[in-house]
Amino acid sequence: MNPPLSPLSTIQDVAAAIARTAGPQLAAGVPPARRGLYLATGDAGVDVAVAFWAAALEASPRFANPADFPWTLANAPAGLVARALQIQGPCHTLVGGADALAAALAHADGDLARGRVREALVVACDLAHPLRGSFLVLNETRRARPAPAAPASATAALLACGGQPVARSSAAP
Amino acid sequence: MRDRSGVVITGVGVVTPLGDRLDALWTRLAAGESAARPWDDLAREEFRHTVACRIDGLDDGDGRGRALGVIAARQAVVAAGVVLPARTAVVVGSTMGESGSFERAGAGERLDLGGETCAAFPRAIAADLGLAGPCRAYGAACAAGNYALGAAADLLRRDEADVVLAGGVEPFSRIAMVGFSRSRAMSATGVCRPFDARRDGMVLGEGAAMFVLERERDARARAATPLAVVGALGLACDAHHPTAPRPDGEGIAAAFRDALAEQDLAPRDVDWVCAHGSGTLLSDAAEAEAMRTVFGDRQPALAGLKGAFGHALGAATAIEAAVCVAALARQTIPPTVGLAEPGYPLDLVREPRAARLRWVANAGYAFGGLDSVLLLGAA
Repeated sequence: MNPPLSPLSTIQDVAAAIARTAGPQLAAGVPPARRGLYLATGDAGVDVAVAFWAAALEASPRFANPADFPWTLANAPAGLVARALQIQGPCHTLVGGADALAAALAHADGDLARGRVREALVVACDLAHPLRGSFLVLNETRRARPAPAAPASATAALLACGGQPVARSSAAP
Repeated sequence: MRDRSGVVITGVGVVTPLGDRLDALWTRLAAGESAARPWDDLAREEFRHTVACRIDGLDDGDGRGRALGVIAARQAVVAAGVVLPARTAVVVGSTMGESGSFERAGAGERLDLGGETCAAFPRAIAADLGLAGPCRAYGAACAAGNYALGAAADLLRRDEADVVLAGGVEPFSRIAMVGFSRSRAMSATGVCRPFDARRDGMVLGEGAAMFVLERERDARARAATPLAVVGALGLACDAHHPTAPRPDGEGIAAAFRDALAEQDLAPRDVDWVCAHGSGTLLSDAAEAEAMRTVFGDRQPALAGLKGAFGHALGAATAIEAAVCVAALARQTIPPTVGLAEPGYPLDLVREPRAARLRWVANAGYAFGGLDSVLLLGAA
């Protein structure tokens, strides 16, 4: 459905791929405010923060690229996905491995259970994991199941829950 | 509407540029002081903006954010007088984590950065206090403290923890200093003036605030004194722009409406809005527009605190929540430090004001279009 991402893809590429792939699977007719986004990541922002600061030191802090700065923040991928899919309800970014994914699933399940959202997009967005990105769309009839505790990354944990991969690196086996 | 009255705060710990105890912070805030000042090291390093609110004398050998979080958490536990049970969770919000490590890596040092994200902070607090319960990290940028407190209350309501240590942590970040400067969000005059007609931007801060949250029945059973009720967390997303808020403030308004509906309150029930009030042109304008939308001609008191201790990013809403707790205890609204010439026809508080405070709304918004409003009630 999507072109594979190269091993050199950025976290921006991963988030964009998630948005492209998940968008068509969202139900029609759900108001934007009744959709929630629940993203787990282990490394969003890290690479960009290091590169941003290296560039600032190389020239001068006065000439750092302002366009890169928002991507130093862990929640930038969620912001991109929310904008692309017009998700205007709760927007969470949980940082960590499988524990973060479990918390994201719990948030989604809780918001669905009490009717705060009608549809929940649960996303794993890891730059370092070979598969990098995956997602689950949940609604009132398809609720969350617990994330397995063993996988180290959110992406691996979401795939173990039945999530769909969106960004298979060419470096992956 | 669900029962939102069952979780209380029993202890608060803060480390801020304006005070490292809640009483001290309140005293200086009420006196109208600001911690903003120019820094020679930033001038030497060719920063365009050199005014910031920073904490002097912090022993941060193991990481500045970790140190801030641990100090604030220890304070909160002592203040609560609680013996932490086995089911104690730690929930922390931040923006990018231990940013000093990313700066060292950017300067060429070889580091394993996997443990330096936002997740480092709850883990460090748990390790320091010998806790083995769940740890969560919310990367919700400048709204992260509110997210952490809301999530902590939910953990208690769902009986997934018996005590939660929650709050926000943000070390001073050169990356953020440069990023906001290059994004033209920093005050050229070095003065943060929330909602002022002459405001020209933000001043960066740092710090941490941590809270002990318990179910009210558990707190009363051990004869603890609740300091404040943790109400609903309203959330929305602008889905509009990577950094700029919606000009009509509709996302902010949606977060207010979400919180009020969850708590089964009407706008008139809010006695004070602790504003995001970053002092930037766009954010304050959007927030003022949302105030008009939500509260109409019956405006609650509005005060923003970033003129006093700067914008502490991921710790901002947590530090501001700590001030909300102090305000509820004192039934007094703190002043908007830096505000001289109000730019909006709102009930802006410029001097400490005695008031009947039942519910206060702690507002925080963030890059990525995040809008959050946490309701805190009198205990």
